[in-house]
Amino acid sequence: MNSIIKVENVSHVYSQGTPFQLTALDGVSVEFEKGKITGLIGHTGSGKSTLVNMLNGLIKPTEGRILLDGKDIWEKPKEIASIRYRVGLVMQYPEYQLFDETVREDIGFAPRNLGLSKEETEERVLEAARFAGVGDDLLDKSPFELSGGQKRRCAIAGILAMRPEVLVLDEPAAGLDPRGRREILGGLCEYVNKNDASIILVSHSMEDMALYCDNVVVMNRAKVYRTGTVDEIFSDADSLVDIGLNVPAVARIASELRKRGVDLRGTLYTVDGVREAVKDYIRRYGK
Amino acid sequence: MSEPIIRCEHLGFTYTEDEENTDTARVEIPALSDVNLSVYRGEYIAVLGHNGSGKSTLAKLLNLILVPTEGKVYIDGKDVTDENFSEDDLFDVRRKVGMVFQNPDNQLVATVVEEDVAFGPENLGLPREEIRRRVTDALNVVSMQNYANHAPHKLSGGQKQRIAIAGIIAMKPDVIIFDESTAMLDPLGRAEVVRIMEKLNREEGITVINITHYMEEAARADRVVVINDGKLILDGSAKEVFSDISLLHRIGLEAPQGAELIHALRKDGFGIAGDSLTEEESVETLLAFLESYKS
Repeated sequence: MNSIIKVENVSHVYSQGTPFQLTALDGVSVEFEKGKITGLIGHTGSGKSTLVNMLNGLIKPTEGRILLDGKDIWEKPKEIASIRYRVGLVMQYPEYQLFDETVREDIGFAPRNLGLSKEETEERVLEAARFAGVGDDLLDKSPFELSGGQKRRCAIAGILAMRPEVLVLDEPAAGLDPRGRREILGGLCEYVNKNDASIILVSHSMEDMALYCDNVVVMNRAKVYRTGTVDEIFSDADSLVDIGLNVPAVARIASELRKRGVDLRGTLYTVDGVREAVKDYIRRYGK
Repeated sequence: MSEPIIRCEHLGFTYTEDEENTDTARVEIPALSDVNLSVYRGEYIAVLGHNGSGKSTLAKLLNLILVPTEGKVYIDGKDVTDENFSEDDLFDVRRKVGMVFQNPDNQLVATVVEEDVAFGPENLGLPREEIRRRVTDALNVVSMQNYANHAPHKLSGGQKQRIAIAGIIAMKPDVIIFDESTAMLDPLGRAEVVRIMEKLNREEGITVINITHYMEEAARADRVVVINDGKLILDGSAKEVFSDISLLHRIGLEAPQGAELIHALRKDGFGIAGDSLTEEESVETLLAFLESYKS
């Protein structure tokens, strides 16, 4: 695998040596493929947030290494800030982090700090706004006048404006309606394709995982439980159910049909996949 | 049918932008218009609509966080826009119609769970023993009795929402409105809160209004109301509302995946008869269809 980020035997313990000691990651090794969207799933408390916060150096592992493009991000601790421009982290509910007077200024904050010229900053702002679905008419408004969904897009654009090689997003579509989810996640896919960037997407929505991800990493109890392509992970629904995770509703329906003797074949975890599988079945067995 | 607990007649609301922007004329943003809706005691209603459709505005009008700019709202028969509507009446409405918000961190006020739940009844000026009894009962209903002396900030999101719900139950409300109360929770937390909603409705007889983006949650309600661009466009059983999937798609919504699948196959020209609201129904419908197709 051509990996962009390699996590090598990483462990992390919070409040070590106190009664509140908690092992959040326990000897985790995992790779994230370059140019792909990798989903990261697991229960609350499985360690995925700790892992995500390590990828751009917000948390330093108590053991192990994080390699970005083959280089240990903690090799020169004083230069850790430069990693944060290369690995953009969109936290949960990023709309609470908006601060500037206009949407344009807010999105342009990182490019300005990178020392880019006015023209370059403007170009980055417009590009990021387009990927995130922030309309031109919003750029001169105060971010605080926007609706919840618009604020979310604005915050995501602020990260995209750094043109990060890796984009790490923690539940970017939480609380949005179906169309809002599609627009945001679709825009991120476009960013990946255009810039040969990589995405690590944390979400509880198995439906979104099935639709947008290439690979999936499953975390459970501070360890990596499974890794594979989205096909491999969702084809083995039982192993997800074993650790209390869900599969998309349509995958459960397909699985039940198979159990009841309907020999469906193909991609059985998206609506379109199962639709094709049913049609294929009819072609094979129908009158 | 008896008098509805909530009745909206030609209800509308227009936001007026803050006057700080003195250089421009005041902008009026209509959020809701001409909504007619009656909610009867004991109903379990889901409200759907995309972000910005006006559904949260509706919720805020129903417990008088907002005052209607058009039309009327009657709570338990009382007209809230009436000029004789007093401050005491307002408190009475807020007690009758409780609201659970989206962010669990924004609605807990105390540092100990039982104190948080007691906040409402204390403000009602109830005797000590009565407060004690209500807090205990409310924590039992949400299955959080073992956490009475815990610190709310150390609980999970789902547990925090359950405490927020207990705080409302302790006021003995007739109606509880859940304004996207499951949106920020993980799947386990969501399931916990949905289970509590159903328990409140079925066992405690509380009228539940659940505003949500999760179609599977809406499919469990007795009645589904759809708001689009400030207007109430659908009002019927879950089965009725989710039968017009093309309309839902046009307004940016979806149906549960089983219904989506069967809708897609029907569009492909297959005459599939039967229900598809729940996963079980979808499976049975598809099995019967495939059986009939087999040579």
